[in-house]
Formats: sequence, C-alpha cells, structure tokens
Amino acid sequence: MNSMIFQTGGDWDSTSLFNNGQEVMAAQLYVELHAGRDGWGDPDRGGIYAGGDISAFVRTQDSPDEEWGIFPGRLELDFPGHTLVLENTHPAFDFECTRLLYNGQDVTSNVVDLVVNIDADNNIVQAYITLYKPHWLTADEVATYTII
Amino acid sequence: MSEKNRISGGGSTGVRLAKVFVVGMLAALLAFPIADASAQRRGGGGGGGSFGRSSGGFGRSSGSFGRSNSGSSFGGGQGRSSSGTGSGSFGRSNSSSSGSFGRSGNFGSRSYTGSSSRSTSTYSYGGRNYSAHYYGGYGDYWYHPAWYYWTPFHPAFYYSSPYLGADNVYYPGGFSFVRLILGLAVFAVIFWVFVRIVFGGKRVRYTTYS
Repeated sequence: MNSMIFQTGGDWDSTSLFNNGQEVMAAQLYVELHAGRDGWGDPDRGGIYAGGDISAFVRTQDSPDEEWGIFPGRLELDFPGHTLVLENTHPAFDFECTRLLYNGQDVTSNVVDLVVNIDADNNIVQAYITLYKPHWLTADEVATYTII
Repeated sequence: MSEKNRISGGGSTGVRLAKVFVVGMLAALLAFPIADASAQRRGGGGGGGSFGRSSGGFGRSSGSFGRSNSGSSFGGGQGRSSSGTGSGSFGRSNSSSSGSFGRSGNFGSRSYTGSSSRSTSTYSYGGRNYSAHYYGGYGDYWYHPAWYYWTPFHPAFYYSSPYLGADNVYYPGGFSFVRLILGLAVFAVIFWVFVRIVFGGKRVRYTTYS
C-alpha cells in the first residue's frame, strides 16, 4: 500500500515526492476528484458520500508514459499554507471509502472538486479544492480555494 | 272601594304590572350591565317595594289598593298605584336615589360609577391565592398560563401578563403591541421559510479564495 508524501515550498527545487520513505523521481503527480453533485451535475451537499470519481496517479521520469496509481493508499500534500491528506485504503479502491482532510479538517462530506496537477515536463503547477458549504439562512456557498 | 273596582282594578293592575315589569327589565338591560341589573333585582326582592310582596300588597293591606301612603307621583290618590306601600310610584325601591325611577344623576348619564362588567375572583397559582379581576378576554388566560400561550399561534400571546393594581388586586394585561410585532416577525420567518422551500429552490453562490 502506498504512503506518499508530496512537499513543495513554491518552486521546483523545493518540491519532492516520497513513497514509503523513498523518494520518487516523478514527472507528474496528478489527482482529480469530483464529488458532491446532484442529478444535473450542479454542486450539492454530500461530498464523497454523494458519489463521484477520482483519478490519482504518478508518472515517473523513467517511464513517463505509464501512470502509476496511488490508491489504495494514502497521499499527503504539503503546500505553503495548505495541507491535504487523501486516503483510500479499500482494496478495490471503492470511491465511497475515500477520505479527505483539508488543513486538518475532514471535508469528506462536502468536497466538490479537488485538482492537483504537478507536471514537471510541461512546467504546470496547479492545485485547488472546492467545498460545498451549506448555510441556514443565507444561500449555500460553493467555495473554491486556490492552493497554489 | 267597590268590589267591581277591585276586580277590574286588579286585572288592569296585573297587566300594567307586567308591562311595567317588562319595560323595567328592558330598561335595566339597556342601562345596566347584566351583573348589576341582576344584583338590583335581588336587592329589590327583599325590599318593601317589590311587586306583590310588600306588606301592603294590593287588595290585602289595610291601606286599600291604589292608595299610596307616600303620596307618590302617578295616581297614588286615584287608585292607580300598583303596590301601594312602595315609596316609588312603580313599586320599586329607591332607597339609593331620590327620584321616582330608581336612578340618580343626569339623564343619559350613568349614575352607577364603578359598576362595569368586571368581576373580582380569587385564583390559585403556584400554591398561592390571588385576588384578580376577570374581564373575560384573552388577558384573563395569563392567570393560568399554558405553554402554548407563549406561541404566537394562541391569541393570549398578544396580551400582557397580569399586573398588580393599587387595590392589591391583579388586573389582566392589555393588548401588547410588542408581542404583536414579535408574532408578526415569527409569521414572517415562517412565511419566508415556506416560500423558500416551496418556490425558492436551491440558491448557491460561488466564491473563490486564494
């Protein structure tokens, strides 16, 4: 089972990826999660429990054409000012068994989108998370937090 | 007085008495609140001026029928008095007034001040007894409050709590505009929630944080 830790200080030199304590010479780290939507595809409460899909893989520098799946396992992402922990230990990678923590807070039940794309080959660094925040009196909020 | 006069006089007096009684009752109902009117009737029964119950009832007293001993206004000396011994012409006691009609004061005005339809009762609450006025409105409900009086769905909600008067008797609270505003606010919220649920659908706003 993978236990990956991604860390970055905001530039390529401070960016690293470890799996079970060993550094991975990666070309790309890609995570894309979509959840918490109603029948029309609009954001809704429920998060992971409302169903969705996830793609999470690593492409190494040695074999950039191959995508190595991260899950089942655990992925910790440390960005400046932001911390993400994505975990799915289900042997069959059941989507509903995914857990997500954002800055130490469990957002499993209200995550809408999570995109992390660290692409060294194309010099692309992108990460954001969208959460659904229900409110009692005011309109519900779909908040997107730009991570990097 | 002759027998004939007595008979005819008795018949006409009975009809007249009935008419006077009906008119008097109607007048009393119009002029007096019911409670006071009944009180006056009870008081009159024990007095010397009641119909047919005075010692000088018609046809039986030594003072013959129709002859008033008091020299009252309407036909006392002409055999037309109804009951004879009453001090008033119509056989009603007027011990509390000087006029002939059992009333005092100016025409058209109420001479029985302080005799409105309120009643004083004793009620018990919390193991203690209190004297209180009951007006018959929803303000009385607060003498024995129920939990649902605190909800704007019950009319008693819109009335203030009883207060202690200067006579050490509790009075029911009046209509409270503050509670009216509170009730309207509650209904406004309910209406807003209803409209939002039924007609509003889901409102979502999108925000972005960097």
